[in-house]
Amino acid sequence: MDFKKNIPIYLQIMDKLKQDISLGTLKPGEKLMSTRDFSIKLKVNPNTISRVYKELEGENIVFTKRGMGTFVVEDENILQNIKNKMADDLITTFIKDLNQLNISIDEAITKLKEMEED
Amino acid sequence: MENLIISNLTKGFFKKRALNNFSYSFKKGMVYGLIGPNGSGKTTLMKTIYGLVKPTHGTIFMNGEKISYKTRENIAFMPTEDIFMPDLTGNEILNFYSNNFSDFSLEKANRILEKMKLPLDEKINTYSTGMKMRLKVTLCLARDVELYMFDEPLNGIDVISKDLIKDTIISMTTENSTLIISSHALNEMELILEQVIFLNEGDIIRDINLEELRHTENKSLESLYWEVYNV
Repeated sequence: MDFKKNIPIYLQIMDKLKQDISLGTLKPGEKLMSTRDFSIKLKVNPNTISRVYKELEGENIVFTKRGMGTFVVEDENILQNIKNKMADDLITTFIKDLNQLNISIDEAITKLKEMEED
Repeated sequence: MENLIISNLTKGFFKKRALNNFSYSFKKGMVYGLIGPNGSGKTTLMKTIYGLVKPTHGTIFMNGEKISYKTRENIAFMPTEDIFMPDLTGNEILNFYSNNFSDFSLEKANRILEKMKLPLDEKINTYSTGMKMRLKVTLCLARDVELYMFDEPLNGIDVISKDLIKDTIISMTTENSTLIISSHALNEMELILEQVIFLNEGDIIRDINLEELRHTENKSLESLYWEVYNV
């Protein structure tokens, strides 16, 4: 995994895992790598991975079974939730960028529709 | 939990001050980086903590005990200097360490050596710089102590050795120990270090948590370095 060095590493790993879950590479109920193995694989500090798992647990995307490891939750809605959240993030950035260019949302919608028709 | 507490540490060599009223508390379970140009006090700090250099002023406490030859039993230090007798083989050096440090674990050493790929039957004078560094790191990490200090573990070695050393350091960090690493290889150490102390002429000029730096300032360690030292 290539990291951007000016963005928190734990956030980049969280995004990657969410992406893996929404793409089905990581399935509901599947066990995640141990903190140590994952940190060695990504070549990052193990505390970074601990934080990733803790934050994902806070977002109800994974859960920890004591002594067993960390797992993706089995809830089928989780996939949809992650997709929705990722879409929200994309759109938020998109709107910010539009604002900077002084383009209204209506204008943007018109342009989007034009592009779709092309 | 803080296990290494340094207060007002000053070390002068004749008129020059290598450390200037240095105070810091190191915590367990963390990996610290010591960053700074040559002569900024990194090595002197490590050697003072290990008890090889006597402070001019100030105190260092390890788990409530003042630093002495006794606290050294709980500290593993990898200096930059060549520490091996060239006529010994890798195995002979391993045995030497195993006999001399009661906390040295041959089992742990063997686990590390599985990855380090060293010709242990051969004499040290046939080893490359990278191989010697790999052995030095192994000997340091195979001890079971609360504080590990590495002075420039990636300096002047090949890419593969660098990678092996980084992986080993990552795999050997624990919640119960503190790691202090001095390095010029900012780009390579960036994802391993958590807290970074910038030194200049024996003073702390910046003390920063790297994830926080990325979060609040959108900066990398390397870009902060240029800014701090104004070069």
